[in-house]
Amino acid sequence: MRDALSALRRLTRQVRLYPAGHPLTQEALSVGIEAFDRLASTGETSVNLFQNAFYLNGELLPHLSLEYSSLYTELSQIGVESFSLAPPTQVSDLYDFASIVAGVGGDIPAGGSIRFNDAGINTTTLVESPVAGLRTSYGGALEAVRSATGNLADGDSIEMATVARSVEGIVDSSVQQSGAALLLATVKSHDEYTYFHSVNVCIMAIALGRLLGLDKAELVPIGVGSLLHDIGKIAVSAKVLQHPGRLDDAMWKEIQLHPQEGAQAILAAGGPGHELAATIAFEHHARFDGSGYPSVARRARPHLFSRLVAVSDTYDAITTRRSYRRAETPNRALSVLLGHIGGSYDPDLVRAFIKMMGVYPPGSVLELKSGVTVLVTHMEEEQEIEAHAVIVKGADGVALSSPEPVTVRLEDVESQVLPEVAGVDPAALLEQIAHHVKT
Amino acid sequence: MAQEVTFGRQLSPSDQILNALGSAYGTSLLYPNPEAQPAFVRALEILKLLSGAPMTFEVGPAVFLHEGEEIGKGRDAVEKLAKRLFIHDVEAVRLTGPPTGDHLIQLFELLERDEAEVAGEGGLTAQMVGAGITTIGVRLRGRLEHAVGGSEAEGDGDVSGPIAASHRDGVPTFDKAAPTAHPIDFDPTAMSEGMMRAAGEQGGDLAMLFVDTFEATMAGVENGDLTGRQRAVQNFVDTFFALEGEASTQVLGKFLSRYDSKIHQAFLDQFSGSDLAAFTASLDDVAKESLYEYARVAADDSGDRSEELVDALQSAEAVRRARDAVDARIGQMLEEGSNFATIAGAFESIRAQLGELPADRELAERVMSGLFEAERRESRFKRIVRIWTTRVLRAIEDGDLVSAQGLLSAVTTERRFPLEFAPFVDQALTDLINSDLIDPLIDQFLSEPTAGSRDLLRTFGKAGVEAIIELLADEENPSRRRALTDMLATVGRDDTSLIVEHLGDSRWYVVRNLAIALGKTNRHSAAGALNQLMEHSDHRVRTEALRSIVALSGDQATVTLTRALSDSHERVREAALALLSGRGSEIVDKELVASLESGNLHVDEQVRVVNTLASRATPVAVEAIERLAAKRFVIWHKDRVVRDAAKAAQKKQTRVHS
Repeated sequence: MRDALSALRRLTRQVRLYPAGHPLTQEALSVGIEAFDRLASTGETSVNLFQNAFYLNGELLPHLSLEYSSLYTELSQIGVESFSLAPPTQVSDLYDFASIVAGVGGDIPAGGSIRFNDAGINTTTLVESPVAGLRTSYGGALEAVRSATGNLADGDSIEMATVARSVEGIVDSSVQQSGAALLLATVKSHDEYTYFHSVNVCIMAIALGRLLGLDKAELVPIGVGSLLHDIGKIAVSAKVLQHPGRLDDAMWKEIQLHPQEGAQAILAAGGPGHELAATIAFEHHARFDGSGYPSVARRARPHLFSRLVAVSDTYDAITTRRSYRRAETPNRALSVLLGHIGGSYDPDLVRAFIKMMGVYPPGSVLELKSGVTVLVTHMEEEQEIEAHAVIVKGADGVALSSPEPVTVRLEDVESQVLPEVAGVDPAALLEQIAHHVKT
Repeated sequence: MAQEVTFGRQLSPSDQILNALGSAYGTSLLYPNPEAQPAFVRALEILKLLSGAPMTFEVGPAVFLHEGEEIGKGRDAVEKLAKRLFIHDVEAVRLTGPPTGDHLIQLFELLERDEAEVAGEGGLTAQMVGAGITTIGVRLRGRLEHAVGGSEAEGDGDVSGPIAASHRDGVPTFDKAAPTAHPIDFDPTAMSEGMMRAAGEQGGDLAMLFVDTFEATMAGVENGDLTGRQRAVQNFVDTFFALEGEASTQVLGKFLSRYDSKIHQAFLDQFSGSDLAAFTASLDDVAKESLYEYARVAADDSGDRSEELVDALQSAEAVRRARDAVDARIGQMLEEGSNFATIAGAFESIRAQLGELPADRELAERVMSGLFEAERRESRFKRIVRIWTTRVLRAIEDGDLVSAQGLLSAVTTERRFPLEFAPFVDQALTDLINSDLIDPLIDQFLSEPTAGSRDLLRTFGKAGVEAIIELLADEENPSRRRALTDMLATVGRDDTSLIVEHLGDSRWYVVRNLAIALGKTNRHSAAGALNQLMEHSDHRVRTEALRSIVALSGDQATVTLTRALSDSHERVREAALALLSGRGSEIVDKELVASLESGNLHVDEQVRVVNTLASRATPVAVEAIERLAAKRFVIWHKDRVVRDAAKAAQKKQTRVHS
């Protein structure tokens, strides 16, 4: 499904820019046909758009719904509620599909290989996600970062109002479903690392801000700053960002430019009220002890909220797998933070962060001495020796079809494992476990 | 008697350690909860006390040997322990530090299990690693042939070439003098044991041996054989994790010392940042420095691993187990970190800071200053300059002069940007002050300038002075000219030289305005330059200079004033006299009298001085007038005129007094 959506998005872009006969359009068409046919190869295939999420044959696609939130919006805007595939996919049908989405015309005949809003698909059978609002906010924030990056790449300014609106959505959702928000913040994407990372950092920064008693008006600027903290990476060459091996000094220096690039972009975007965002972007790699980069004579410690974002930034980065580094467990990420308090990180903020996340943060996957595997939803607030979790795998190692809630005493924990090693995706389980998660 | 000898002799530390191990073992056999038994606790205390340095005991059928001597004989529990170890094919036991009670109990439990069963589950060593026993190590007999070359079925003696040189009877062998390559699919546990033994036997440096072996082995794998290289590196990493005690730290240090070589990077890159960080405390200073350098280069956005290798590492059981053991320690750290009292203090501290957060205005200044300081690329620097000036202008348009001034001074006060970019900043200041922003400022100075507008103007410094001078030159409206002069004075107040350096301007009216402005700066330091202006060719300049000198120097200007009484131009003389008339000190009187008596004044000026003195009616003045009036012998007409003036003044004074 990812390949199909990716191909459709790519083809839509090509169609906007080039005529049908253009080699790039032809190539995108060819890739698209292959992806659509592969998707349909298992039999009748229907894709529904419902509550800001894609459903494939009635099954929610949580990650893809986030990743392709902009495509969802485009499809919704032209009235697509579903589409079904009747292989083999015809080139003309796919081209017309992309043309309609791109807003450059096109028509799909009834009974073709791609059918819109087929009467046979009944959206009322789809189960509404209890975290639909949260996912919508996440997708909105993701789209805001994509859009900001796109603007900068095109030589335009960031639309700060759009970014701020998306952050307001995150703040509102986080207030309603704080625990679920932290679980959703475990979602990762290898292809769009920076975008997902930015939204995750934003969610965690807002959650920590809430814990500190900040109100919405104070949280939004922090959210904007954390969402855009890495926006300066747009100015770092793709060659360096995607470099598979060790960076040499020149490359490293280029990477180190991203905080100042980000701050410049935010300040250049105009309007007052974004000074904090610029500060966070500029200072998120400045360390508590005055070192870090950019290298400037610091007369004061980095701003409190820059320090806050630095903590969330590190936590998410460590728990995310990159091509050059494996992911670490949440527990280990916290230990890294603790191990660098006073140097890289603000000791008070690290402790507050640990208080928020708990010894086993939401999304931690634990193997218990009994042999079962659980996913932590949250820690018992007053008593840090218990974690609320759901059993995701039985002692026999078989995944449960429906996760069961359980209270785990820390002494029952055998070990903590990486979600991907355990074959568990916390963010994808959100729909099933939402009612067990702290609100 | 024999017993007395036994008990009376001083037991060696190795004896005492072995006895303690035996005691702990015996207790664990007898009680379900040995850790609660006093004998076990005492044994742990002894072990803690004596096991500071690593110690190895060879294992015989029912006996231990230490440094070639049998020890622990005759003690039941010790002999039993030796037997169980021997049954499990343990050749030697090594304590790498004080063993924990938990490690001892787990080891004893393993030893009590059926040896075939333990062997079937990967062997005692693997089980110990899996159980997280890190303070005790064992070396097994005759197991290594399973790990190297091919299987037993393939035979032991048929391997050839450099690999054959590294194996004897299927056991890895090492030669310090000639590092040997090993097959890439070796057993890490066996390899680590072999290395430790070789280093021990040859009195060599284990770290050096490890690195040399790694290099030799990697050299034997084709560069294009990516899978083979990955496997080899992975096996060496697993070997590393199986090393005991300080050995791993030393090995890491050795690799770090060569971190800039590709082959050593391949090894180092297998470690996560936290793995490396965990070693930091035990590394020596040189290794630490290398680690920092390595970390700097390899941090976050870099690395040298392919995803496949990461996958391989993630599934490597031994590595995972080793990490689990680390996780246990992390849990402890985190519990300490989330201690209630510490957390409460943290929240209190953060909330206190929330009340003292800088305003947006200060943040803008901070970021702007930082951007100017950090940027080294000319095109980007120019972009920052544009962003900066845009924000300044916008603030001025919004009437927020304080913010505008703050943004300007954040950059211009300390001028932390690269020297070569200074012209861009200066040009920007010039453009700014010459832009539309000057009009609202003039408007402010036409009425009552605020502190904000004064501060903003002063921030422009040199650029501000130059811009205002040009505006002044063209301005015909007297009110606006006065406002501009006030602005000039405001800018020059911090540094009068900014104005003084323009006094050589060829346009007299410009210099006159500068003289006026200097007089308004209230800075005495400008008086010297103004005095020089008294030599200016244009009397209008001299007149204003004179006024400014008086404004700045007070009584100290009297000499200049009296000198000006003999200026070539009447207007200057009039101004001087008027200024003198307005001053009331005795010094002025004396200077007036002196100038009168000097004979340098024109007769008209002399009469005016007489009249001035008369009007002051001080003792010095009265006496001077009396003296003039009483003169009997005067030849020249002008002297008579002066004497008559004195007489008239005297009469006038008399009338006033009567």
